[in-house]
Amino acid sequence: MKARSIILDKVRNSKPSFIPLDDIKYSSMVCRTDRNNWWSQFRALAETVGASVIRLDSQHDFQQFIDEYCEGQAIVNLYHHPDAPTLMPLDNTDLALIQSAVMPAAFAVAENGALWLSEKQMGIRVLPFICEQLVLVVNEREIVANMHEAYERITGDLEGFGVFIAGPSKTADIEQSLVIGAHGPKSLTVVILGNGGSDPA
Amino acid sequence: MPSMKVGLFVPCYIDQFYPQVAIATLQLLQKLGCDVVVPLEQTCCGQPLANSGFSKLTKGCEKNFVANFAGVDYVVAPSGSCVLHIKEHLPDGKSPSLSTHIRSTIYELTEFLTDVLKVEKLEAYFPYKVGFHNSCHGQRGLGLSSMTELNMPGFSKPAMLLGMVDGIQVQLPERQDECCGFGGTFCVFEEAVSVKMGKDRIREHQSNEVDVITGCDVSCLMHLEGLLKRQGSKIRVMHIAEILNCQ
Amino acid sequence: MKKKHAELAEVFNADESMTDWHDETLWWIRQKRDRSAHNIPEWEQLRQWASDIKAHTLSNLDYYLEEFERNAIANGIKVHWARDAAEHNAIIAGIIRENGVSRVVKSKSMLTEECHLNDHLKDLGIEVVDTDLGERIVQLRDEPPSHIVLPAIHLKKEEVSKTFHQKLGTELGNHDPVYLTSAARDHLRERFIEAELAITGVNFAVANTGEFVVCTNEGNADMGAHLAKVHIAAMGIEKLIPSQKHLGVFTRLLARSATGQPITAYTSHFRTPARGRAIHIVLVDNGRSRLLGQEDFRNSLKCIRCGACFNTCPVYRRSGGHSYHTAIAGPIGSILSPNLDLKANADLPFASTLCGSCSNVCPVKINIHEQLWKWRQVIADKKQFGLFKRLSMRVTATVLSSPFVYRITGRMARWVLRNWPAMINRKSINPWYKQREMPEAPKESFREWYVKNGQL
Repeated sequence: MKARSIILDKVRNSKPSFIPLDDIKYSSMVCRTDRNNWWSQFRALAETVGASVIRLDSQHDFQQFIDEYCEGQAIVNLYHHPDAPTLMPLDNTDLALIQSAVMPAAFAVAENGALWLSEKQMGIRVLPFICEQLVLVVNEREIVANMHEAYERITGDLEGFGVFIAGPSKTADIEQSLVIGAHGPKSLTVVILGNGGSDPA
Repeated sequence: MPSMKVGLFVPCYIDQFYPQVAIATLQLLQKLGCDVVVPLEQTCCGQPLANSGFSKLTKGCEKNFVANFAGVDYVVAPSGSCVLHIKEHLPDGKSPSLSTHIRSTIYELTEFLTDVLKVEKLEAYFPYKVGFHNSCHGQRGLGLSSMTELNMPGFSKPAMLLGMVDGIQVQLPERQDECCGFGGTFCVFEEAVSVKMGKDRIREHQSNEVDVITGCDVSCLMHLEGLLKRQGSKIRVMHIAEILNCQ
Repeated sequence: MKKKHAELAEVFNADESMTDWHDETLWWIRQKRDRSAHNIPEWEQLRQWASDIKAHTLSNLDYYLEEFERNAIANGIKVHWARDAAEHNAIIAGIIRENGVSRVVKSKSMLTEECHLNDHLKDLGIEVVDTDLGERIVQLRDEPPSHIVLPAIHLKKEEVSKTFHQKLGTELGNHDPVYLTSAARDHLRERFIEAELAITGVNFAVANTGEFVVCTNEGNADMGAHLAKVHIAAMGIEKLIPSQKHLGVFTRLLARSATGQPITAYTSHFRTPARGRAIHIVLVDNGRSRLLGQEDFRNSLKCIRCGACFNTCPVYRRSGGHSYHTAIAGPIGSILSPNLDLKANADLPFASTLCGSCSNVCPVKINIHEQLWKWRQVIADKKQFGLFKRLSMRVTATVLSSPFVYRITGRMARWVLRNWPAMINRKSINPWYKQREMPEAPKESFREWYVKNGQL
């Protein structure tokens, strides 16, 4: 603990006099576009970052989509079976074989096409990162304008892990050529569940 | 307009190598009704020393500067870089009120024309295609024009003035506010990068097929001129004062 | 003696088409950054907030460090403190040994680069695999990264292909980035699955929740951290922010400034270890508290490592990251590195024209170019220059302080240039003349003209 007290002492002796911090008043900002446009903004941004976005209006349509989308694949569907991971103890090698994972997202962010998932939605932390294809399902009521509102929603969420996901895994480390699927999912599909659908788990 | 007393600050290298720029500045200011004073004992603002890390050696320059420019309403110079140096680094020294006055009333030529004289028209004629070079200290330091990095409405004081010249065609290079690579002693201590930066600026002006490259800082222009001459280019460099004073 | 920036930059510039490519590639990223920033009407306000939040945090840093530690421990995270690079390396090596681990993966962390962790672990016989594609490329080539966000930006795909052919057995002559990335994906997937311990950096640490945030596009930090049993996160003590709501400001700025993306693909918030797993955090000082005590340079601790100043810097773009001979290159590196070793890095504050573009793109409004200027003064004061330069500056100061001496010297210089140009126009003694003509020397100075004609 020697290092700790030495560092803290040095910081205490070096820091400037206290600078107060005003509250961030983002609600007064000009950026708040019309709520009716949030989904179209989200869709445009999510597509820009490489996701495909579809809107489905009923549970039936959603079920049909899942059946077709995942046909013949190794799939984990946490949307319909939230307990699935705990029922099947998977080691790293098994996890790496998962082709598709379907999971609910808590909400979407209009300004950047991102979706928030916390640990309870992904079951196993690595799941949204290791699967080859990721499907995130979000209810059309669940959208916020920007990251300030996003953090307002997360505050108090005491999950051990959470992540904003915007598009599939990507890299541009070779000559700045964009390549999708650097390590994690090679595709991200965002399903927006419309009025007829029930709430995500 | 009551005539104001303007001290003409002629940076050392302009005095020695580009007298025509100082002459044009003097004539332009006189045409616009200023009572121009040229202090004869002026030398240098001290920037070359300070930018090299030797700001402690600039006391002599500063003392001399204050002595020469005490007692004028404004100090005006055809060089954004030297003006910025005085504004930011002229210390209070032995006569704090004089120094404060100088720091707050020193102007680069184009901002003096637009902001103080509020010039709206000029009797100038220059029938050529002109490439405008934004010098960094003028633009980012003094705010002579908007900067591409910042989210702000576009404006340019020098371009506004060039727009008052008859017959002129003004063009900006593709990267409209990239540094030319002069950078004071950078131009010799980092010769390779300095030259490459200058060559890249010139290439963009060349592709615009300009006759003349102009700007508000002779230092940038001197560097570009050195490169243009070595390349055997037909493009000339001229300080903006020379164009605004052209009839 | 290590080569200096100017010499290394000259070598970089020997291949002009490569220099052009490097410049244009980074400029393209700068333009993406501009478009992204200009799409946010409140962009300048966000920068101000970010700067204010950081200024406040730094002014109360001891408090926030303790608050963060308390909350992190309550979350089940083990917290370590390291005064310098050596302690940082020793702590991490200790955790690796305690866990009896031999397979380690690491996602990008500029702090571990700053501390030369890989070399240290290698000396101890521990192999670390860098998992960020760019970092893996340079690691396979035994090179340091040349950019904090784009580690392999100095390489063309042909060179990457050659390296991958030699090290990973990819097809000779196949330069397709998709093919090469896919080969790296397969190669690294094996390493991820086998890894027992993962090291990551930290983008933001939140005092009021004890959580930390890691941002990547590839998902490599998450693959490593979630698959391994032990996760070590290394962070400089300046990464703290007071509360979670402040992440709203920084997550809007970071990726837009770095690459022009609206947000990174993954913005991961680690609060507690998963069941049966462990998370360690190493809080590192390594000169940061010293920087905090220097008013002129304190602001550099606001840096969020977005790399925007690299991409906009006309000198960086035309000299490459390796010419800065430090872990963190570019304008921000040139104000951070002198604090770590003034003598070795005394050339870096001069590797700039002070154009100021860096300060304008900086999302936390660090006055980078002003700090470069201030470091120059420190370097001159501490006599880091040779005697010749110091003497010549003294002579210049004497000449410019006396109007009479100045006039005589000016007249002499012009006379020499006109009548004896060969004395000055020599490439061996005059770097200006190597690729530029000298200005023409007029017979009369302005003053001489004015005395004759001015007062008509």
